[in-house]
Amino acid sequence: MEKKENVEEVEVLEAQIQHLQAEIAELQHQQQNQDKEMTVCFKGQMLDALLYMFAQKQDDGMVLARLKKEVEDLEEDLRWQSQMNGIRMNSCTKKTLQSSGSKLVQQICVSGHCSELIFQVEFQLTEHSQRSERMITDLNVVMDTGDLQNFSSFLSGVEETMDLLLFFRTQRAFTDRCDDRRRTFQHFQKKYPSVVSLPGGCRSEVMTVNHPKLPGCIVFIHWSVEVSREGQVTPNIDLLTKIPERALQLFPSEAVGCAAEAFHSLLRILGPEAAMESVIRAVSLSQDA
Amino acid sequence: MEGASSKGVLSHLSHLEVVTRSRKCEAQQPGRVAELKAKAAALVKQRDQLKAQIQIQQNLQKLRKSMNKHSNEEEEEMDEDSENSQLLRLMARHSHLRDLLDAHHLIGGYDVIKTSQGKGMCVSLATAYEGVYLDTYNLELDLKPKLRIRRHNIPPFIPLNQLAEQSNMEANIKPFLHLLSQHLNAFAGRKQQLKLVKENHKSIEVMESNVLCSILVLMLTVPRQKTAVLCTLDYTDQTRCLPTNARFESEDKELLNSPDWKKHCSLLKDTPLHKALTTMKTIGSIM
Repeated sequence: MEKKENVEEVEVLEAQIQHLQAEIAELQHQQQNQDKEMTVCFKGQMLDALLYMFAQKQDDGMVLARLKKEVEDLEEDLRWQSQMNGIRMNSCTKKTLQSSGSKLVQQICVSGHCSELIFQVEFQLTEHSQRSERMITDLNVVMDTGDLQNFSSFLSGVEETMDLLLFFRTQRAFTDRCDDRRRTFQHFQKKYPSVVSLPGGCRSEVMTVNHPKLPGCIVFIHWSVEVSREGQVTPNIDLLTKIPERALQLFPSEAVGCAAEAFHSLLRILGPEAAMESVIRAVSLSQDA
Repeated sequence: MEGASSKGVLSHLSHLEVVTRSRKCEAQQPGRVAELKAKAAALVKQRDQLKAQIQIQQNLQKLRKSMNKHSNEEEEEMDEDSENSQLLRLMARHSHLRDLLDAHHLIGGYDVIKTSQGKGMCVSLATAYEGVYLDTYNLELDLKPKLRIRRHNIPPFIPLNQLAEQSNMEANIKPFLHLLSQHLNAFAGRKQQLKLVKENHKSIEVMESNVLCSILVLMLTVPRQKTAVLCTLDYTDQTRCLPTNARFESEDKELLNSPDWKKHCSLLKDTPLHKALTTMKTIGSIM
């Protein structure tokens, strides 16, 4: 009788064990899938914290404090990188698509902004640890290019060639040149408020110069920032005049006709700020022009 | 009597034998049962740990997702801030920050490291071409008393000092780093194109190239007549991967004046070399 009970107990235990093993296999599968969805790295303080939560590691009362210190260090580092790179990252998510021995394929989505430009970039990163190779495939760039027609040919080119680094270098150069323009325009508007105005705002491409007593005669400074398909960023400054027919009839002036070309010479000789300032002073009929 | 008693003894003996055997079995059963019980307990522990880990991961992912959306906002204060939930939020923040730093690195950021208690700085310049990460170059800088390059592994044919002067490095390091990065990436791009040409276009002979990869002379062969055409590419703008000038030389002057070959001149000036040569082969202009 005892023997029979033992046999039954063994059978029950063996069945329980099989059931547990199946459960564990399924949980491991679930965990691996979850890890692929959003890969989190458990190393150093993170690992300590995780083990502490399992009550596996002895608590010396310092796990929280140490993790907090490490988080502060990371925040400091991020501030420094953001400042040097001129880019503010908002989010970065990683999904593991394939992870086998020496090959790792991840789907990465990064979003953030560079000065006023907001971007979102998605790409696949393949790493062959043995050959020390890293490459990007499947690059997709989304930008708020409302008024950035000059950027679109560059963007489609960069998606084709998957040149992620070129995209960010070019974006930074572009925003730097746009910031130059904004600063210069704002400077002139502040210095010559009666003569200079920015009809499209300080971020626009156009600055107008006209004397308040001659409302119909306007000089337009058009400062565009072009981006070539190759990623070359070139500022282009042009001068245009708008003078009523009647005024030209009364005061025919060769100067007006050649204004655009003359301005280009000025640009070459004096540089953009000085050239623009001399135009502004001429229009404002300043005594010390 | 004897017969009966011997039968009795024998049967008694065999009975004893049976009892002993069954006792031995009994002695084994508790051992086996204990073993199985221990194994089952270990599996239960493993299963519970996995469940906890999955739960923690799920919570971390949820926290991360909300961090991605409201990256600059203060995290909502939870009413009951148990130590575990505090720890969990710190863990989520830790992994969020790690990933953001990784993003800076992946996009070719400078990976700046402060050294010597803030008196120095290390900068990495990453290069890549057509999606392939190539060499990384490093600069070690002194910040005090004056901004100056202390050490670097930038090849000598990149005019480092000239670039530093040109971009007024001492006043502001960022334009200098940007210009240097442009030069290095363009060089890496030209070098990579040359490598791809040597790998994928073995029928084309590279007659001349320099370390900077700013001059390239190729020997092309026209099919059928087997005419030789010398192709010279001048990369005069060293911030670009494309040549400023492309010219052909050949004994067959008529060929070079044909519309196809005039187009090839433009093709070489606005398409990466290895791709341009593939196009020329496909058209049948060269072999």
